[in-house]
Amino acid sequence: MAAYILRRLLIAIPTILLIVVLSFLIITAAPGGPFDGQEGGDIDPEILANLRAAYNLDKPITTQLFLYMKGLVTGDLGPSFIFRGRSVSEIIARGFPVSAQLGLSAIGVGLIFGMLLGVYAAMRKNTAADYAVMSLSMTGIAVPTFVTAPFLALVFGLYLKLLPIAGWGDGALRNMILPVVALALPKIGILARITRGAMLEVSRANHIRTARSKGLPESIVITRHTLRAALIPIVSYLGPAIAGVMTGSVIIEQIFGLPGIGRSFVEGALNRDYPVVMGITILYATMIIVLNLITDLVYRLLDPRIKDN
Amino acid sequence: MGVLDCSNLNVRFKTEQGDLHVVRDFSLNLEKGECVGVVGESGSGKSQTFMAMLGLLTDNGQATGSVKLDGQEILNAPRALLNQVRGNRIGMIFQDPMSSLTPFLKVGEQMCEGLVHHQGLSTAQARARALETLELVRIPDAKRRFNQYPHELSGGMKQRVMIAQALMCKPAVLVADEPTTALDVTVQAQILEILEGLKSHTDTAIVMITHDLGVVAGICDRVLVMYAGRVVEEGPADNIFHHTHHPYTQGLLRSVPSFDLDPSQPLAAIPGQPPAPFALPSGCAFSPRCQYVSDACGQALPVLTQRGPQHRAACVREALS
Repeated sequence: MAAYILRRLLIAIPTILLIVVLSFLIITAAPGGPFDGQEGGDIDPEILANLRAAYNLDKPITTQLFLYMKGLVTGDLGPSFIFRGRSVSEIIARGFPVSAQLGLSAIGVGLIFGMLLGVYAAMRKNTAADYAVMSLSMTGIAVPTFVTAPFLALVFGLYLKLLPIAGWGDGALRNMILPVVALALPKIGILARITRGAMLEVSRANHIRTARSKGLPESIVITRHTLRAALIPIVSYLGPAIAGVMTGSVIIEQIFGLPGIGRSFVEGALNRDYPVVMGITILYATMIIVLNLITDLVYRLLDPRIKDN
Repeated sequence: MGVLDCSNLNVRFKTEQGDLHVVRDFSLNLEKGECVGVVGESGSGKSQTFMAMLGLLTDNGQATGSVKLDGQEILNAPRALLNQVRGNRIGMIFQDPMSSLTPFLKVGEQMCEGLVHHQGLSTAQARARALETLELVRIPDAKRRFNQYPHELSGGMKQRVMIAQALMCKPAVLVADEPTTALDVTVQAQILEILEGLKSHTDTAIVMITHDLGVVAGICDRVLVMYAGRVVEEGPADNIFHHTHHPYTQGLLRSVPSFDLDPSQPLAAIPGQPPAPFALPSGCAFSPRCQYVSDACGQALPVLTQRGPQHRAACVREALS
């Protein structure tokens, strides 16, 4: 087990290196640069040359890559080109906890309600209740967050005045509710559908017939014999979904005015703030790798037949 | 009156092709301690008959008739009553031991849960009973097996665990649905030996659902032969084998390979296919495949008539000559 984890982590190193090189080449190949077209018109050519020299942008791309990698090894993600005086590490340290807290809460809410609805729909298969749950979840998936989020803010913030319209408020529960609900709605829909499908799939298995033939009540047949097998596709979905949602949602952060990392990422990309984009890409890649490893470890907990390979 | 009394059981499935009537007027009175074989080809309705008795039909299935366990009606009973019967009074073994155990629960956990649920035993008491039962089905090293997962066991071992699990509550009836079909021949013999031992040492009645007449010959007191959802011949095993009255039974017996047959001759087979349940021929369902077919066969459905002591057959002919 420990050897397996170690092996997976070692394999992750070349993967991350490859991601760093590729994304560095892609972002720097994009037309334009960090100091083009700032407010106040064009910068004086001399100042621009100094700026480019200060950030090593005048050097060949291979040298830039080498210098970036050299910093990376010591844990230095470099300075932001746009927000002068702030390092990428600081930007991530400030925004990531906000995005992570929002994202994890949304996944938690999605998991609870999605699984409950999915199990309920599976138990009422092909009845009006099942169709109602499935249509609702399809709606949850289909309506984009840039529609639901302003709608929620309008109803609960502006008209009913129950919750703040926007703002982070240092992560107070009141401020969290609307963005978390907006983020969670599509997750509830997807998880309800996955859960229903997996439950129905497993309930046709021979071992479920055996469990029923033993005279176990349906509640035990479902919780002990069905749900655990049905968790496998749910876990497969959760790994990448958690990584995605923790690294921030631009739309939600923009609409609710939250200081998350998703906005920094998009602004970084638009402004050609290479180090910011690189830093967040590396964070995202690392999380995907770690979460995939955790997913595989959870598979083994769920199904003892899965072994190292 | 026997321990399980089933009369006029009919099973239908609603499908897109229309209603499938897969079991027709099935009756069986099972005595304490006896072993009855239910024989027929795939699709003859033999498994669905017993699934229906226990309320284990798929959602589109519907059963009518009467099934009494110790005088109590259990057919279409509420789930709570069925749960008291299943696993507790009637144990069931299925065809495919590889997929019939829950893969992520330890052998011991799945064996004990029924007993704990039905008889309110403590975990320790259930464990003691499980170890005892594993030894009854001749599983060596029962303590180690108890803590293993199903995938760590061979097919034969899994089927023994299935049998042991079905016996945990000391049921009055054990329904074995093709218990040896998925196993290789030497393991088949071991499983049959266990069931024979069970028959002689306990008063559990056994229903052996099979298409293998060799299995029936070894263990069953009584045999019911099913064709296209109906019982076409029933009687004591000896009579069925030596004084066969239905051409279908005769065809089945002739198609059993044996060491005495001339290996240069092809094995006898019944020509044709069993009819689809939504396209039964009129009169006797077997008539299109029957070598003795006459005009009378297509006119009316032959009913079961007495052919000897406790021996009945549904054929227009008086005897096969």
